[in-house]
Amino acid sequence: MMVLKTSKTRYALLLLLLLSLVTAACSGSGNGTAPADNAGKPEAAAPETSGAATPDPVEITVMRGDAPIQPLVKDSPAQKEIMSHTNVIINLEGVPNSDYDAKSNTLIATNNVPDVMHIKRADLITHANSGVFLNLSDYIETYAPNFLKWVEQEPELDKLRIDGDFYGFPIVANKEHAAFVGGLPMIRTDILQELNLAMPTSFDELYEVLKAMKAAYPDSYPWTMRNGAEANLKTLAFAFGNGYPTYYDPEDSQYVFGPMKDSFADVLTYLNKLYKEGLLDPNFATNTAQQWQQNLSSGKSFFFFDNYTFATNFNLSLQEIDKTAQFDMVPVLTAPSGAKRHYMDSPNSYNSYVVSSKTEHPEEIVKMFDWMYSEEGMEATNFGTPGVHFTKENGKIVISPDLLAEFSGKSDPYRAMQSYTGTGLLAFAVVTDDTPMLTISPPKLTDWSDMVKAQVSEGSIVEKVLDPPFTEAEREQLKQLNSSVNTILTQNIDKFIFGARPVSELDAFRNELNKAGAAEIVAIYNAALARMGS
Amino acid sequence: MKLRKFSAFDTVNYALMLALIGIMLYPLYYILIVSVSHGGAVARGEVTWLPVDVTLKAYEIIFSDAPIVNAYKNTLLYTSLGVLINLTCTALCAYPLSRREFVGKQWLSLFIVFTMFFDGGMIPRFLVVNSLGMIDTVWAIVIPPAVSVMYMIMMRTFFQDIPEALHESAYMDGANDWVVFRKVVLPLSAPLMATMTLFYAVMHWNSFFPALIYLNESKRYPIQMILRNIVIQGDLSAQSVEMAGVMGNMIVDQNIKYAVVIISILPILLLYPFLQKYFVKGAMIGSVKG
Repeated sequence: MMVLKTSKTRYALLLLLLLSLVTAACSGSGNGTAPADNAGKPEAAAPETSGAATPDPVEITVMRGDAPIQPLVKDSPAQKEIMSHTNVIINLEGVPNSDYDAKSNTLIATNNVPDVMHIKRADLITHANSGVFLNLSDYIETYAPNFLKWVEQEPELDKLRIDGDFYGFPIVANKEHAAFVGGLPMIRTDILQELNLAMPTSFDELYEVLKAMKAAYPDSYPWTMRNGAEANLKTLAFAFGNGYPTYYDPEDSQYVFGPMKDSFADVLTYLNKLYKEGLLDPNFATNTAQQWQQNLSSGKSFFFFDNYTFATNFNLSLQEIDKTAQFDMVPVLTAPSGAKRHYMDSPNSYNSYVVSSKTEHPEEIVKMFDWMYSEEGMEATNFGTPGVHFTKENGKIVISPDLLAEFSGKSDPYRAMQSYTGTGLLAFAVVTDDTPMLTISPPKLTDWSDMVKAQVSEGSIVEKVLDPPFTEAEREQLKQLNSSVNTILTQNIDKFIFGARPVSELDAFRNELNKAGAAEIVAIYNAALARMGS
Repeated sequence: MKLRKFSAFDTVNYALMLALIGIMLYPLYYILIVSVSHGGAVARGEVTWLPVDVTLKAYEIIFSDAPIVNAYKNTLLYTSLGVLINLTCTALCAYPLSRREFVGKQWLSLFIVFTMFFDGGMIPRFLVVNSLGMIDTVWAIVIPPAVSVMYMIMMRTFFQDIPEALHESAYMDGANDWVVFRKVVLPLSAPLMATMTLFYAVMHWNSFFPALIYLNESKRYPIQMILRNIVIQGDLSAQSVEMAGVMGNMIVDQNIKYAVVIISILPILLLYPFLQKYFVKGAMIGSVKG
């Protein structure tokens, strides 16, 4: 008995030991990595002791996604420029883009956001009223004249207001030097030449061309798609004179539910015809992006209607096996309905940098952003140090040849250079300028971008517009309506293209959609749009 | 000695099993051959059974990339330090609970097992780690998962199976509990410790989420975070056509992606053969008696 009793106390001691070990390990953190501790809690940074009179620089933490193709670098030339002009030291924290949302949502939920944080437009709307982000409107009126100029210049920015207020600094593009990108038709011009075919100008001619290609290469599927038909309809339906599903029609000057328009039958009939005759990749509904890429870079397919910038990659790998192979852009195609219009993505990113409501330096931060919206700031955050990384000749930006030479050997010279200078959309900038990209990238890319630009000014390529700002009740309602409407769309679109459901049943299909609330969705969109105008 | 007859059943059986092994191993093999193939051939989908135009360029790029090498070091640190803490804490928790004479062990076990089924969730855990001042330190990675209840129970079961007579004779020789634990129990638990090392090491090696949430400085990121970023973000399908102004050549080459996969699974893959002999024995622990 005696033995048993003493050992009891001993075990109790043992347990104590365990606990002490754990606590010892914890307290160890305090000594070992104290400076890092501070970095983890930016909002607890040392308070400014002597007020505004002192020129002591202010240090802030900026968090944004880190893209593997352009890693974020600390103390880059661009950050040093910001520091020398605005007296703000930036501690840039990169979070892997793959999981950025998980991190930012945790920080928002626990009210631990850093001084400045990058956020997607949708998330900004969701969290604006949570009180975590600073309402910037008052500060902007006082400290941000350059930003206000942008708001005037780019009316779309008003759609980013939440209840009339700005909660973030949106990322916009300097359109004069922006690459104009979008889902546009691209075709193998070497095959066109080989078969003596002219560049198609309408969807009917395109059909004939694809047919001729199929006849010459029976094993091929001339047109291939990725991510399913619905993703492609977003651009394709617009080109046919309607849209998919709810979209703003520039001709009607209001929101429309695309499948309700008469011309929606055209696009389904067209795709169905291509599918039946083997001109459309039979795996169009299930192709992953990788399979799509393989089809186009191995010469199995000759046409795509998607982000045209991929063509540079396809051309590279095609030309390894066939010197003459070449994808090139098809000018805007005329639809059977007579419509002649394609979509392009807005060069503006519209994602924003938000400011923490707990930050100790709201004025400095707003002033810093305002400088970044100025011409000087835009140049520094896109090209680097003036005089070192770029020079200005007659108002034209010239990237330093030394800088270009330094990165010319890299597998992706443009991104490597941007990573080094800490510039551009994937670094810390609120105005993006694509001059470096257009300088370095394959000349074809510049040609295509110029071609898009020309067609934009001609009016045949239209920039996608932002959704109008919805109220919280509307967002909730839209979520429910969209989920029931989208289910019907998803279940049926492929059937129409496969021919499992004849296009003649389109009226019945429209009734189903209306029952599920398609008309209400459009009404909500138009009401929100009307509210903006008033 | 007579050789066993190789029956028709065996033939079919072996064929099926070999096919199954093939199905299991092919993805791994595919990753390996893509990682050493030429980028263009991979993009054209020419790589299926054998590598095309073998090149180690992808590996060169990776090992010349400072963040990846640094992340690799971090992972090694987190794994070794983490496993050390895991084994210490788990064993020190399991041993007292395995002793019959330990007062209140039922209650303590109940509290501990409770955490297996009910979890505060991510946000409260973040708040705790934050208020302990562990954010952005190595401790945020190694302390919160210090004890896995399941492994602790496995250890306890193993310790319970050590004959009581050994303890008694040790006490007789004047040993105290600490000495018994160190000199008698631990040496008898080699297979257990090897298994636990493997389990915990794999857990730490693959873990990315705590690092994502608790770490802010990219110089502290483990390799899995970099890997995820390259594999997921660099994926073509993630490139929406709606990404304004971002050019298509955002894709990370497939062979670089797969080379990162290879270098991130290789060390833990190499750990298995060395722990194999203990592993079979150790994995059975707790399977007989609860």
